[in-house]
Amino acid sequence: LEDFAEIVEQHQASVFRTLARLTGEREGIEDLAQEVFLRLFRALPHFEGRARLSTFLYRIMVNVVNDEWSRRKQARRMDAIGEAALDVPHPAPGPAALLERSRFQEALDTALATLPLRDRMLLTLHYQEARSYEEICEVLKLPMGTVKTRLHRARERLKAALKEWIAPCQTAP
Amino acid sequence: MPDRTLSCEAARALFARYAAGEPSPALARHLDECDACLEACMEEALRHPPAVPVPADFRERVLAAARREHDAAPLPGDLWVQVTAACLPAILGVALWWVDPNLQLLRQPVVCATALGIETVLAFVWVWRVKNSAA
Repeated sequence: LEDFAEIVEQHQASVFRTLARLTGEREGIEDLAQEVFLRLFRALPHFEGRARLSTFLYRIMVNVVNDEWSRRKQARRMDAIGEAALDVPHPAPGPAALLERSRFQEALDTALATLPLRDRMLLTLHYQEARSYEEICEVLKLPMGTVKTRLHRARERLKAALKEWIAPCQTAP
Repeated sequence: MPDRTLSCEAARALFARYAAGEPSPALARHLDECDACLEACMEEALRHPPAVPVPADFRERVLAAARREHDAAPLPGDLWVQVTAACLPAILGVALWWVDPNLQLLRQPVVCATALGIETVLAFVWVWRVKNSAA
């Protein structure tokens, strides 16, 4: 447990930062972050150290966000058919979060949210976390060529989405 | 053609403030027309996300949850106790049949009582361990 405490201390900032990018949320990601570390805790006895711990953590983050999206989708479906009025936050950021954040970053998050999770992870790992191509391949279990192609495509799609946001800003005060 | 009112160099000098939320119609016009600057601005914003505060008690909360899980984890020997308990009647039956093919021994109360006693003790051990591991 002492070693685990050290791991949490060392990686918590990176986990929060990455989850914020992947979900487009700044608040309410504590539960997801806790789930990430608990899954790591459960998996640590089987961790053989062949991969870097950070790689392992990023992979867990992708799974946790994937599961969360499925859970929310399921909850919304249930809500739609009127079985239960569940209070499930939408993946899009809330009004309070939008006010606090810069508009360009907000536009970036909105544009990122239109990409598949794997592409969002690609961009986040490459730019924000400054990870090597090799490590990205390991996290996403993709060959190098695919990673480079998808990264290029994701960048183009993000750029196109940002252009749409920029157009009305040209006349802004 | 990129907006001539702003050179690429001047545009890039404005990135940080723009990415931080300061409106700049001139830069927006430039970015709309200059792909290279838009890409550079986008990369800058991706590289420098807004700070995400980690709650002060987060580490303690995670450790408390991990401790709870650790304490509730099943004992490593549990599986063996369950397998042994499940196999023992069969093993005892085969052993008895081996010693006494006509199963005359089973008609002796002492042998029956011993077999039942062993089974009961094992059942109690199993229930006790399951209860303890779930606490």
